Amino acid sequence: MSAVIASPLPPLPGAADTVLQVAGLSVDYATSRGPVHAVRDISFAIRRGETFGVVGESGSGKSTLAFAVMGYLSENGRVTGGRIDYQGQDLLAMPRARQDELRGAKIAMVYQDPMSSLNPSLQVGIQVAEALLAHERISREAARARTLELFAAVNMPEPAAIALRYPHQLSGGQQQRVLIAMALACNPDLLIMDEPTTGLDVTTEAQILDLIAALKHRFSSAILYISHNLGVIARVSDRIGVMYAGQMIEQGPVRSVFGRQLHPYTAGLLECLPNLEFGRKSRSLRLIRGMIPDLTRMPPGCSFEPRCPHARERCGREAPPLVEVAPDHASRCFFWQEQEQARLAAGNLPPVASQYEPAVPAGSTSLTLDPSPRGRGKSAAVSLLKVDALTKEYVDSNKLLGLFGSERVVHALDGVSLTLEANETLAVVGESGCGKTTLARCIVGLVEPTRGTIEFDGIPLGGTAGERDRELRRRLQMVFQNPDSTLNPRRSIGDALMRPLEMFRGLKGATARDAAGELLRAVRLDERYLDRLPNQLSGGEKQRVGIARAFATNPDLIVCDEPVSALDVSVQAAILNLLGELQARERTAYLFISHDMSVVRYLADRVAVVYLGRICEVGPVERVFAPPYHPYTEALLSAVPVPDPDAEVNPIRLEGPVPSAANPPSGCVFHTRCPRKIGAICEQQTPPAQTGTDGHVIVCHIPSPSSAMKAGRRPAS
Amino acid sequence: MSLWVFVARRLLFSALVLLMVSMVVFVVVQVLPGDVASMILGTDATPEDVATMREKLGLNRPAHVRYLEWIAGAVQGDWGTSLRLNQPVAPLIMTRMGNSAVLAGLTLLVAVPLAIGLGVYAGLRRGRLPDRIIALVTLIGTSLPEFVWGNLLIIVFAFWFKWLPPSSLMDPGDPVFAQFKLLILPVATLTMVMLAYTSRMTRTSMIEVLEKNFIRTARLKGIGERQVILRHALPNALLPTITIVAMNIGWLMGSLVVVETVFSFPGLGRMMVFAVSNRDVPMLQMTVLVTAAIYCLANLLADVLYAYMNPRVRY
Amino acid sequence: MNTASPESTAASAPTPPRMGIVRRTFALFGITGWRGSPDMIVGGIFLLVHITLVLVGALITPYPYTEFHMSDTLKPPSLQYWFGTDHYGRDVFSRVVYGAHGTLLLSAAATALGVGLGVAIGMTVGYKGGRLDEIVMRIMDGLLSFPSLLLAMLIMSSLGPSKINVVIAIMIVFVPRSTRVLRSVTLGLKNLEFVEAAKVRGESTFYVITRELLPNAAGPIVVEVAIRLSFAILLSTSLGFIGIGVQPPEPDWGLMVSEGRQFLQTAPWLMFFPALAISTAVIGANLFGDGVGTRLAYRGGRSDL
Repeated sequence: MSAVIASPLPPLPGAADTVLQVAGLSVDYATSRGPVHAVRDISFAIRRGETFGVVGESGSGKSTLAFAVMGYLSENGRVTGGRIDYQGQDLLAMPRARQDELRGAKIAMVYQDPMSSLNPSLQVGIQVAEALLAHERISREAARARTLELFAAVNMPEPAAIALRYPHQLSGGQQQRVLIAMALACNPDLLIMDEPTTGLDVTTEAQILDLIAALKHRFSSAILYISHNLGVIARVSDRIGVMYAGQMIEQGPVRSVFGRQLHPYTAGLLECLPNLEFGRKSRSLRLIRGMIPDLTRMPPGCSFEPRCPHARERCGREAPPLVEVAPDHASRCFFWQEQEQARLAAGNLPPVASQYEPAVPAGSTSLTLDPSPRGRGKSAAVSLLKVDALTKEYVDSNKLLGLFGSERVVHALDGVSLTLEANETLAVVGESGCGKTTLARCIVGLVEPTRGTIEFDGIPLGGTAGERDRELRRRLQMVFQNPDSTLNPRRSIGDALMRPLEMFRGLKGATARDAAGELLRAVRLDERYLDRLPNQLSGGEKQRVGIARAFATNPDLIVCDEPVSALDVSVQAAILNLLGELQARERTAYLFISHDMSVVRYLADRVAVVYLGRICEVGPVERVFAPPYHPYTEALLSAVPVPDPDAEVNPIRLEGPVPSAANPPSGCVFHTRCPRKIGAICEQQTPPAQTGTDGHVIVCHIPSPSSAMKAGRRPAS
Repeated sequence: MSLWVFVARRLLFSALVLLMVSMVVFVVVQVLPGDVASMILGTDATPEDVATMREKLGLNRPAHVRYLEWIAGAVQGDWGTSLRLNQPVAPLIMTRMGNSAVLAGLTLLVAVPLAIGLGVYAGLRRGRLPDRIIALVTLIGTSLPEFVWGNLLIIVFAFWFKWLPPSSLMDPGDPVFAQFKLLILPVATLTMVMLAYTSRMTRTSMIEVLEKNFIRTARLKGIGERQVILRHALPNALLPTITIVAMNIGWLMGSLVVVETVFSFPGLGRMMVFAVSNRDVPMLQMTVLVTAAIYCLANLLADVLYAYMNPRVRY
Repeated sequence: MNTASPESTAASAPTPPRMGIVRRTFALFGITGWRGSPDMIVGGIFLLVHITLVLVGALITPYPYTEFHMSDTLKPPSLQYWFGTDHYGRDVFSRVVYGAHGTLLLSAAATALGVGLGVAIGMTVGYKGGRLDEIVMRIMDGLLSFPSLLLAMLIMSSLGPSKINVVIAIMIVFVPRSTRVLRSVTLGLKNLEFVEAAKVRGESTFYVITRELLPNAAGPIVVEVAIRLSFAILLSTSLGFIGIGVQPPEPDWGLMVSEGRQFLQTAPWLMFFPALAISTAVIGANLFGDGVGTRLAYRGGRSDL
């Protein structure tokens, strides 16, 4: 371990109310490849009523840090150095019985993935009351009453009814509220939250974050908040620490860290994050080159040195200590001053991507190996893709011989119409279960629509992919969401790429291999990857291969189903830039499915907002992201956590549960949750499609404030 | 879906399965061999004998008529007459079934709690010495067939120590419990075999549950390891055990055949061997049908119990 | 527990490690590295010994298995007769070794056929789904309502006792069980994105099943084969033991135990050695299957008795 000062920070002012003090903490995992140094020499303190946010990408060690504080490392994990003091007592030296007294009472935790964190076969009320009964001398009756109070405190509707439910009967947001209630049961002094909103929809996330903010004032616990999401961290934290490869590389008050960014990694993370302000036409995302170092073989110098744009010779030789750069603000960089100056000098100038990663070599060939002109855009009058009144219903039947049980019809898509022009990116955005993925699957032919038509370049697209012409299949490709399953784990990268080349372009043997190598170069991977198996690639690399596979056929349209949602922000930026660049070169159109408003803002030309299987707003991205909004779009936008601690929190929140697609509300499907509902008309009549400038359509009863918006025909009828 | 609807659906499903089972039995026993009469009588029978047998069995009528008659009879309690013993099959089966049920019941009573206990314990001590020992014992348990276990136990307890009788032959009229000693070795043999499967599956299920996130939640709630195991791990781990035990009942029925042969125990299994070796078609088809029906019933009960215990099935 | 073993970052290694033929074969089934699979190795050794017996049996047996030595009946194990002799003075060692030929080949054939059909049917109906799946699985449910040994006995009674009929009976017992296992494996695979990518390309059902799904089901299939093999040995010897499987004078292990029973007190070796042969073969198959299953963190195959 490098010889750095164990705790470079001066004693905290008013140290008496310090709840948690971590000093020089290191954690190793024993693995077959040797010890993994997951957490290295971390020091920080949290005072009562304060939230300390820890942010980092996957593998940075932030969850290990949280579980080390809880005293719950996996079997191969071991604390190799440092102290964890809870109110002046060393947790690591404490006997197990005393730890059990504290855990769940004075030190409590809220977890990622609430569904799996709750016992499926116990009523949630019991699970909360259990914590009370274990730590406080109270009767069952009193525990029950307190549980109901806690449920009320976490804004649970009908606490008494909820307490009797089982976890699977609750929504994700409600499950997380149960876990929060459980954590708060014994008025903890220290609350550890490990990605509590990850995996929740953005509007639910906003509610949970509001709740956490409110509870913070009420319970005045110290909070250790772990997240990968810079926006969430900016919103909840008073002080933050940025983790990279097991170390805190910068820590300090949230405004100071976000404002000055005195470590190149902090600056890089913030710059590679798309936000709601700009699209790729105005500037491309900055990238952080390379990837996280192997934690079993750390370089002698700065762990960020291999990826740092400002690295010097000294950085590779010597590990930088955490130096105090401002009151209570420290950075683990020798050249933090230059970093700050460089950032200030760059000002608001659009950074050029090539500064960080070499652009395509000059004269690189286009992917179009096939010189024949493509059949795209035969006439300007025909849209590349025209979806008209598309409906997909799933019949969810549990009948047996038609005698018992019931039948429900789930309307995954209900009369969706949209068009997409050549070389255009249309983003379809909405929360989970809104039907956006079903739409994608209908278009590529994985699912057969129940009603409605899809025309591709004027040709009707029928049924499943297998029933379509080979030429249509060639022109319509797909990029998938999950890097771990997008490639067949038993087949090499070369096989994955050569198969479409052979099928659609008739390439064989060495020619196919050359073309596959070409594809890999186009997605910035080395040709040597051809012989590798997917498990030898990182998530971002696998996603690149998935993109290369889609481009292998020279498609006119690629349906991208959440292609970056499983990736870390730095990897996400690289993939987004790659998609943009390939589109510019290959003149491909994208139908881009996403739940992430910032990503959509960055990549899309046009946007369709989907709620409960219906389009509620569609139009050019600048129009959709600016007023007048559809109330749902407005709620989505205001829910997005912005990576700026000073951003004002927009108070528009959606109430109530998402209605079942098996039984959609009458009138406007959004009326049950709409914050701007105008009256009975919303419940009774299907809202009209109001058309504005540039093909901007809002499907809503609220009269448009702009005279440009005029009531029109409902597009789906 | 309420539990009652579930039960009703499951009952209907079982009825359908039984119908299919009866067809399979009929087809395999009466249609597949071609001419049943000559199969029964063997190759050296005269044509006259065969013709008499065909008449006796009613083989001159079409198969579907015979099937329907058989099923109608079975439902009404007319289970046919044994060809070799010249007795009605129904009372024979009933007595023998009672004997086998005693054997199976005792085995379940001993083996299931023991197996679950061992499985849970092994799961909790995963990778440590007790787990290894239990794993070794249960591996040997599964790997030795019933007839090997039975004979080993006979050698040890009947011949070496002379504690217990080597066979469980008894007068057909005697009540099974009359000579309790006769039951010990067969039950021990069956237990050896039953133990292995159930405890291995329970161990797996326990380990799976212990790896779940909600166990972590419970532990970090500070309720103490005892509570974590008793309230959170066990109920979830034992749920799949219900299905496993039901599946084991099928295996147990096969084991009964072998064990009853080893110990000459007058049960349904040995009667089935008798029916097969003597080509006693009426007896065979009824024995198999009854056994399959019991197995179906066991599965039905297990499914209902599972649904009753598991809140996720009810909604 | 997600207390985070950090994401593997070894992807930047320059070239993949070169593997020998054995490792590559195992890698095909998803088994890489040797750590933590002593089960597999011990089980493999047991199986290997038995396979060797099957292959070279005729070369190492001192006497023909049917040869009577009337002067040497019921002799205990000695240098002359390693495993002793039976009541006809036949050499038990020779009979056990020949029995390997009979019992194991028969069990292997039944397993290959049963699991093979199960793989084909299970993967097809699992992938295709719909009405076909519904009908086939209901039929399988019907067959699954018979306890294994009882179904085998029923079929034997109808077909008559012979080696080939034992194979057929066990095969019929296995088909629904393997079908169910492979169907559920397929259901777990068929919605993965690489399979959907193949569908979007418009690949045929045959291509998707054989090229995309089958390689990924290889591990579970190995487990299934090993477990079924152990059941096949148990079933075939049990049929032999109760006298409706392989018939005398064939040296079937189950039959030999049954024949030895009348001399249980006086000549226990008659029962002991075939029983030992059965047990080691079954233990080998079980251990091997368990080992592979543990390596794959796969826990599906055991449940279908």
